[in-house]
Amino acid sequence: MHKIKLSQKSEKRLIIFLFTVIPLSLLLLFSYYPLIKMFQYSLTDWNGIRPNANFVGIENYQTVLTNPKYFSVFKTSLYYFIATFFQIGVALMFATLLSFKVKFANFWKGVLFFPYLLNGVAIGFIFLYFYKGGGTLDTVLSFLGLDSQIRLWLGDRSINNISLAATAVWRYTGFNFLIFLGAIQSVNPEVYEAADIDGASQLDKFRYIIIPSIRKIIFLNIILGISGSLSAFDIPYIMTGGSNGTATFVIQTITTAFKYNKTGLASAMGIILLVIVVAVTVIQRLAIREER
Amino acid sequence: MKRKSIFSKVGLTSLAIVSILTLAACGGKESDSKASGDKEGNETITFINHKTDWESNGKWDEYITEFNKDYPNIKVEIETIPDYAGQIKTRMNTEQYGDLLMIPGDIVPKDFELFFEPLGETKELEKTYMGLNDRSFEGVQYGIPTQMNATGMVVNMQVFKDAGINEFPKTPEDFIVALETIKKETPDVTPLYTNYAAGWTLSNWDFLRTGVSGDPDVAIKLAQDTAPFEKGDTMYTIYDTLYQVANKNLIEADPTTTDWEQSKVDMANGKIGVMVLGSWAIPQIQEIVPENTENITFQTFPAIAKDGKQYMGIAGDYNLAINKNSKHKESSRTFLDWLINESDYAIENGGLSAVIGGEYPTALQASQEAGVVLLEENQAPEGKESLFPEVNNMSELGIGSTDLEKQRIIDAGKGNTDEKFEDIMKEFNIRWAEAIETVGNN
Repeated sequence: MHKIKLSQKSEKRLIIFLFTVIPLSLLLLFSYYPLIKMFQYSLTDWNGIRPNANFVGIENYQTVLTNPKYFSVFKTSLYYFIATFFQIGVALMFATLLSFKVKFANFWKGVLFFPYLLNGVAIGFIFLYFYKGGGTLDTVLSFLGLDSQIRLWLGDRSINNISLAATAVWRYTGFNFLIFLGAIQSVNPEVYEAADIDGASQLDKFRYIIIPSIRKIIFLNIILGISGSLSAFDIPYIMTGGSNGTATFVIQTITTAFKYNKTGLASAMGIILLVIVVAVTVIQRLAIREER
Repeated sequence: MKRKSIFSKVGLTSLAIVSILTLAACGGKESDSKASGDKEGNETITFINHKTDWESNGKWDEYITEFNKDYPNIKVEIETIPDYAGQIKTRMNTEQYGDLLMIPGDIVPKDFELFFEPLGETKELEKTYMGLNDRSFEGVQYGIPTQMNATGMVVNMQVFKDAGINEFPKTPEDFIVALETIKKETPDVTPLYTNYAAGWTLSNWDFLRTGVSGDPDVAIKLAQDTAPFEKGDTMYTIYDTLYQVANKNLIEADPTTTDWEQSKVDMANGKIGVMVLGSWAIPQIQEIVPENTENITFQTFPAIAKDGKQYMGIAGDYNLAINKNSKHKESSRTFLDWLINESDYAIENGGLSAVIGGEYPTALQASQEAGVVLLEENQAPEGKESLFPEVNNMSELGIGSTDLEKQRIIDAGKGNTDEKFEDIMKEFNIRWAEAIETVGNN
């Protein structure tokens, strides 16, 4: 058999090409092409079904940016944003504890990371039964003799967004935890030894060694939290369908597109969200570059 | 920033895997609408529909076997979609949406011709079928309803009798009083269950409009009225009743977590008094507790129209239509006609056959004997067929198409928001008037 001979250099090039072409074409086909189409739709009054649509220019963008009905839902994102800080706090605490010597450390790591592996829809249903009238939470509260504290966790508008944001915290803490743990473990152990010799307490080590070494990572997590809270979707969509004041911007977009058949307008909303998220990311990049 | 790039790569790989799976899945479906008539004249048609329960319990297979006795040359492949209304619209962006399908509810009439094969002149078909009003454009018919449904209230009369009420009320005021009595006499019973969370159930309140007004032109009048939510108007009466039941705590304690499947069980067991639904729901509820079948009745909304009579609106269910791009239009038509004219589809689904002269289901016979007139909405006049759906979408009030604004009324009634009912109605009037103006300008 005659083999085609390639020089090592061209072989390397061929492998690189073959390995890149599939992910790149998928990326182009499923991310960039839809994005361009979405931008195109956002300039029309397309209803999502009809083969033709009228060009309306930037009218859709004007509607979204001037009508408070479309923009006011970003208020809901505030709940998720504030929840991000709890999430980061809890994750940081556990990451620090588990970076010291702890019994069954890997087991605890698994326990903390597990919720992140679950599907968002499954989590939505778990917590739907958890919060439901007479559900798990109510049962636990009455077992503890706290019947007076029982409320309609999802029905009461003063509290339902907090319930939903708490679900998001439960889900994403593991992710933040893992990032923190990795960052903390990359700190040179000799620094801790030196600190031990100097007589530093655990708290001192946390404050003067861990926090400064992972400052960038904390910042990154906050940024991820911002873009995450802006695009919060699956948990509220599954649990309340966006009713009773729990609609987020993405839910609003879905409703506009598929319930009122205003695909053009909804595409404009999608593009606006994209611009906001990109802006937040750029700010993050710039801020991190300054520190270098 | 190394970590981030690792995560994005993981993301990309999983995306790649997912996409490959999706592609593979798409590939499998490709053969569906390809011409496949062989030498002996056998043809295969694909019928896409929403009856997933019939696919799993074998009903569709029985139907096809029955059909093939008369028409052995037409093979029917059934494809059911659980989220039919949502997914079929996406598929209609291609040419492959089966040969026979159900027309999704929110296609505006002027677009029918782009997707569906004309079935004939509406005037001709009207002699044979009911419920042709909303799937016709410029005198041409594009769909025929699989069955006719009445919209009203599914009522467990035993619940009313236990509270000392022997006759179903006839006015909204008496209705509220009756529900209050139920609440007082039997505190464990939910007088009216809204099914707030299901996402489609509250739309039934909007379909009550035909019965409440007793006016077959109610929808087209609505689409031309710049203030249809004034006190005394049909829609006001309906929404006001919804607000009152929520406000007086006559509904479920936590509407946000309602459960449709459970609600049917509770209704059958006398834990719920009333649910606003279509008559198709009756058999589904009755079969849960067969001993209680007699208790489950179907009533019209308690209102008396201007002429002093009580009406109950009936309208077509999903309409069968033929894909314009189909290569088997004749065979599809044969199956369509068989399904509507000869099969028991309508009766088995708790409805009335669309063929004029069919027998009324038992659930409706009771109301009919009580003097309630069954009323079908008229077709919108030529040139105005698309007006109501367009104004409705533009205003985003979602009359008969979404639940959001009805949920808002319940939220206000429950005291979850500070909104006053009158203010909501004022806002509805403004939005509706603006939508009429915008649609008129296009």
